[in-house]
Amino acid sequence: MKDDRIFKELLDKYMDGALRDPSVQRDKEEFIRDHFAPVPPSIANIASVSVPALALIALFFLVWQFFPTAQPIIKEEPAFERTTAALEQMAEESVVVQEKIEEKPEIEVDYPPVYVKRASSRTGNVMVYQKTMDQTPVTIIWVFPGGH
Amino acid sequence: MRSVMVVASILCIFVMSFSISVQAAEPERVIVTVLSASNEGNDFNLENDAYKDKLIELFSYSAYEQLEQTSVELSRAERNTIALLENCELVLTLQGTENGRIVVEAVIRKDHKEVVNTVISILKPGAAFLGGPILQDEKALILVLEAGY
Repeated sequence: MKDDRIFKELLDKYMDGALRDPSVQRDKEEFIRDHFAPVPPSIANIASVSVPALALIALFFLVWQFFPTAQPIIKEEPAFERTTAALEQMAEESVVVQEKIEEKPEIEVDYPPVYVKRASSRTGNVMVYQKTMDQTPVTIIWVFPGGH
Repeated sequence: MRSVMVVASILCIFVMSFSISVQAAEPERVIVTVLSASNEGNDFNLENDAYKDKLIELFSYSAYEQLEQTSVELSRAERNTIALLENCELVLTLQGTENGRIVVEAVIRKDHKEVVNTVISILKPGAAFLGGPILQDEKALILVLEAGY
């Protein structure tokens, strides 16, 4: 038993020494390089780029799915069918509205049958007077020459 | 399309101007009666007796004589001069028509002086009296303007 244990210790020491030998390490790396294909760098690059991109796309779709719920709900009103009855009702309503409008009374100026807008003279005083005769007003424009 | 619009516009303007000119072309007839009044005698020499009572009530003269009666067709803004006796003249100008009325400017001149210058609105049929100028024989000149008769 003791000999086995001694043998094992010697073997471990030997193996450690053998594995730590630079030539063995070099052969090991050469062996791995020759017999095992390394990981393609393109796949790694794609993975390194595609993962964030896919994450962004997923985030976009996630937001896009919830985005409509944040918008005001616009209900499309059904097309208004103006039937004859509806048009008649509208016409009646419009007539009613028109009837409610109060028309301003027209200002009527009651002028006499004959009225003088202007009267002047360069030779004397002017007198304008009216006298009703047989219910008919008669207008006279009289000049007093020389002012008398 | 543009040429059609231009032609239509010109046509509209032409029709509008024609209608306006037709409306403006309608003359207004005014009858001018020239009277002289004095205190000499009691004669009433009038063709229209309807004036007699009115003249008696309106004026204090004792004698009246109708000198002339003229019918004048007045067009808008057109001066119509009526020669009266003794260097007197009457110039009538139709200023417009409104609601059955005519608006007339009447100017009486004597020796190139304005004896009276007035603008009268007369509801047709209607009449207005203008007077005052003294003639050489101390007679007063009275004009009766009648519209719509």
